[in-house]
Amino acid sequence: MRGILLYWTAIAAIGLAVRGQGWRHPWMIAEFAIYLLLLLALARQPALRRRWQRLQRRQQVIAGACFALLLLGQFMPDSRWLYPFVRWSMFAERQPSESPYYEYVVHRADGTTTTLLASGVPDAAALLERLHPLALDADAATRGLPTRAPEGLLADVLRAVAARHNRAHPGAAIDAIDVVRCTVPLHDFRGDASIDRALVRRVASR
Amino acid sequence: MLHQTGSARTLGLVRIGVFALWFWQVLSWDPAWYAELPRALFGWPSVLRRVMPEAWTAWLLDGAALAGLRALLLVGLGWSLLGLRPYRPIALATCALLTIQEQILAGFTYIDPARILPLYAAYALAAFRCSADGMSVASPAAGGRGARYGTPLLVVAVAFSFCYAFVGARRLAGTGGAVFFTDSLSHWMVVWSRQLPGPGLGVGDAVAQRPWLGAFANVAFAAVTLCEVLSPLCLVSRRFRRLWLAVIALFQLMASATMHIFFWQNFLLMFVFMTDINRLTRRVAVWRRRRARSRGPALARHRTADRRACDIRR
Repeated sequence: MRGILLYWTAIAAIGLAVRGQGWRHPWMIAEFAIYLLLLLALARQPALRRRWQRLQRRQQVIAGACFALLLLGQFMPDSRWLYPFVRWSMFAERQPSESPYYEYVVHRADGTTTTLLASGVPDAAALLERLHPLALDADAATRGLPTRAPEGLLADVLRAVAARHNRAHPGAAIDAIDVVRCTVPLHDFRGDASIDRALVRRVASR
Repeated sequence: MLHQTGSARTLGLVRIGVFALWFWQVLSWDPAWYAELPRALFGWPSVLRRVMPEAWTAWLLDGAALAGLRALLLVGLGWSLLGLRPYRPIALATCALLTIQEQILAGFTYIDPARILPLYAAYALAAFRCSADGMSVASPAAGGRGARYGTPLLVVAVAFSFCYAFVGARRLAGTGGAVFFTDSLSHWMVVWSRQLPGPGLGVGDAVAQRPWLGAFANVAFAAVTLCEVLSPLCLVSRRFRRLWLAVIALFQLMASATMHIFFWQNFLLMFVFMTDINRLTRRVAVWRRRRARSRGPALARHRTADRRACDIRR
């Protein structure tokens, strides 16, 4: 039990040093207290203790280090440091109902339109996730707000998407891709037609 | 306790399942597409961002290097899947390459939580030498039993349960459970169901249009979160494990119907690592033995009758 407390204190100290000011938030301390309670609850189980003692010293050290990294990953300010020990945070932050999302409307040369998701580009859904901050930036730029992403990166990615698509489907080549800001009026939501859509940028494929 | 005992056969089956999952994922990866994406989009999601020289990154993101990485991975994953000797060095090297490949994917897109737990599973199965014993081409007769065959499974179960606990605790404590008292869930249902491919917009939109359904979804979401926080108790309590499996499986299916978010890898692995899979495989083995025994006399009678028929003909 004392070992668990020492172990937890060491991880907390490292986390404190890494996270800095983030620890001032009382909820973060509550979160870490939950992990301590779970660890203590498990450490009280004789079957688990026996299994732990049966491990070789080297295996104990490796398992302990991996678990420490798992815990530390949860407290890193940026998830992109300790990969694959990443921050596990899903549906955790309150979403303001007015926060927008972006749609990418694909215009084909034959006059038809579709979405980027349905265009058949590999890993389109994963790419959309990455495009979101870029679209936010492009949207901010149209309102004269400061941006973080390199200028023109969104257009470069969309042109790469179009080039890839046009090679695979020369008969239905993409002419342009529209970046559309969508706002959901949640208090008066009546399906797709009630979503407020505004064009942010049009990117020509060539 | 979960995975109190294990067997070479069970561990072998799990090894085949996990490495086959990765084999399929790598096979369906298109490296040429990633080589075409603008380099400015890429950023290592780890300390490699600081450590890896720019020139090396540029070389690695080249089409030929990515195709080579994919080919190497397929060979390594196939080798590990079959449990060929030498198992551990090849499996560990494959896991190292897999980590690089996954970082390339995440560097261009985002860190997909559905690919992290299978990665931990591959690490654990590669780290233990005994993972190669069962269902192996190299040693098909190996049939050892005992706690040592359960240890790799237990290690993954610990990681699995704590990752779920992290998700729940962050939602509950990290932000003071604010998501349960707002219409965030309805917002996600509308937004995600339009951003991810899935079975249609009906269910998510229906919840967002009816506030009472949204309130019910929030209450159910809070119950799921509580279950997630307590996930490590699955390691020691069979009753809680059954409840947890039912709740989390239902939640995953509901998330798929309402938001088109479905972590199929985690859904599959949950039934492998968070259940007493050794008991199941043992039962299947007993059932097969009994079936063979009950068929035995009938088969023998049939053969005798055949022999007699031949004698009469002669």
